[in-house]
Formats: sequence, structure tokens, C-alpha cells
Amino acid sequence: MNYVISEINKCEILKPKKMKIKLLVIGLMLFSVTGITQGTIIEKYFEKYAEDESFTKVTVNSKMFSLFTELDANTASEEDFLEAVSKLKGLKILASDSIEDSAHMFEFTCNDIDNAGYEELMTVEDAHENMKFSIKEKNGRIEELIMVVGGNKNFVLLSLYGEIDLKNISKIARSMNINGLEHLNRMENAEKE
Amino acid sequence: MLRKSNFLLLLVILGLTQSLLSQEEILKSYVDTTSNKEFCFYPSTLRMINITQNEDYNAMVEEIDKLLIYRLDSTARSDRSYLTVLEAYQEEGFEEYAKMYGGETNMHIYGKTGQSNEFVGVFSSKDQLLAFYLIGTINWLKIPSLIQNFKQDDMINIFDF
Repeated sequence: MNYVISEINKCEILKPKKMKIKLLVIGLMLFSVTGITQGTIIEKYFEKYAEDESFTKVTVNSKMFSLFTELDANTASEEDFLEAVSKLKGLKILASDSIEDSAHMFEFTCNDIDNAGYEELMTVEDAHENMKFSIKEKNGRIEELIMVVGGNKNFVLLSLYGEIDLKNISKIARSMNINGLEHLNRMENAEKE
Repeated sequence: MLRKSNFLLLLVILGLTQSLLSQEEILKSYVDTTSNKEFCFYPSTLRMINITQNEDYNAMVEEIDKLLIYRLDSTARSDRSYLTVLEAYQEEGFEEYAKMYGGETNMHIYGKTGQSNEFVGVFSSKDQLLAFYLIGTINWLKIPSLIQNFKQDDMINIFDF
């Protein structure tokens, strides 16, 4: 009997320790979830506007980009393009040209991105449209580039992920004729200035 | 003559490719009742629509083995039954490569690479709904310069027939 009581007491003593372990596990899980959330901010917007026909949603998966790795470049410009694209893992775009208060949506989204831990890279403001580029780095490498454009009834949220070299972004922008992506050209212009 | 938007559409279709012996039957059995027009291209016919014999275009299509394009009817558009065909391809191991939805233009592209690379997809715009099946290899690198240099009279608009 004494043995049983002593075992129960042992368990009671162990409880706070177990609690700490549980808290540690929960903490680690929450940390992981936060990490995942940071990497998928555009997913949140895709889900939010999934049924909204005024928004066009574009997804290009890593399988598509992997096709480029099978090609051989014949010219310098092809080589540049291949180099820029082959390291990408995906592209997502959410865009609309009929947002009444697109400036407000732009502000709201920028705050959302800031709160999700992205680092601001560049902003461009003009009378009609504003844009903001943010990045997420890991081990010194840019693994996601987010672009937000808002104003004049237009709104674009673009996420490019994979291994990103900013110098190559404008090459992709020049070569791919996707609405919204052309704004990335301004990154190179800003660097030159 | 081919409008720029249609040319881009053709480029995207051609740009999502790669060899032969395929699972095109799934799509073929679907379009038996839903398609009102069918186009079948081989390397020679792909070059024929290139009126000005643009070298980049010919280089891009030279390794395409076969391209099937179907114009689907209004029933397919309204009941969106093509989505079940795409699901059937997913069950056969095809993976999603790209999609665009919402708004007037929608696009779904699935592919299966390996010894025989095949791509299947659907494009819908305000005017038409097209399904395609592509087998072969394409030189993707020619697409950017083609987009930049394309002129309206360069190609025959197959979608006008």
C-alpha cells in the first residue's frame, strides 16, 4: 500500500514537469504554425477571395518551373532567363481591376504582410498607384518575394517563392507577360537610381 | 489573322508540353459529346500556320509530337463537366502545373512527365472554352521572344475556322 501511495506521490511530483514538457511541445507547435503562416500569407487571401469572381487567382507550381531545368540555352539572354526561372518553386497572383477602395485594400494588405514578419524591400508611390515589395529571408537567402499593388481600382498581390536572386527578377519580369509582374521592373530601376 | 490574345493562348498551350503514347482517351471520350470542333496538329501542321516562318516559333514546336485542341460546347461550359475529366487525369497521376480562375478567363493545366510527357488542360474565356492534350517536347525558351516579337499577321488564326 505504501508502495502505491509513494508511486502516486511520485506522479504528483512529476506533474509540473510533465506540464512544462506539454507547454514546450505546444510552444514548439505554435512556433511551427507561425512559421507556416508566414510562408503562406497569400494563401490566406486566396481562401478569402476564393469565391469572389472579381478576383483572378493564378497559381504556377514548382512542376512547371522544373520543366525549365531540362532545357539548354543557346543565347546569353536565354541563359539569363533560364537561370532566373529554374530556381523558382512557385508563383501566385491575386488580382482585380474593379476594387472600389483599392487604396484601402492596399494599406490593409501591407499591414498584414508587415505583421506576418516580412521585411520591406521597396515602396513606390505615385498619384494613381502604390506598390510595395517585401521579402522573407532564411539563412541569408530570399525565399519569398511579395508584391502588392493598389490604386485606381486595381489590386495585385503577387508571391514568388523559391530561391530568389533580386538581380534576376527583372529578367523574369521582362520575359513573362503576366499582368502585375511588369511592376517588378521597377526594382531594377530603383537599384540603378 | 491571329489576334495577340489567341496567339498567347496558343503559346501557353504549346508551352505546356513534352513525347508520346498517351492517356488522351479520357479526354477523347469526353469530347465525343461536348466538342463541336476538333483540331489535331503534328509538327508539320504546326509549322504551316506560321505564315511568316518565324524561326523562334518553328524551333519551339519542332519537338512536339502531337497537339489536340477541342472547342467545347455551351453544355460543357454551363455544367463545368470538364472539371471531372481533369480529376480523372489526376487519378491517373497527372499533377497540377498551373491554374487561373476567377474572372472571365480560367485555365487548368495538368501534366505527367517521364518517358512519355503529356499535358492536358482547359482554357475558358468569355468567347470560348477549349480543351487540349499535348504530347511532346517544347523549347520554352523561345516563348519570351515570341511574345515580344509577335505580330498580328504572323500566323493563321485556327480558332476562326
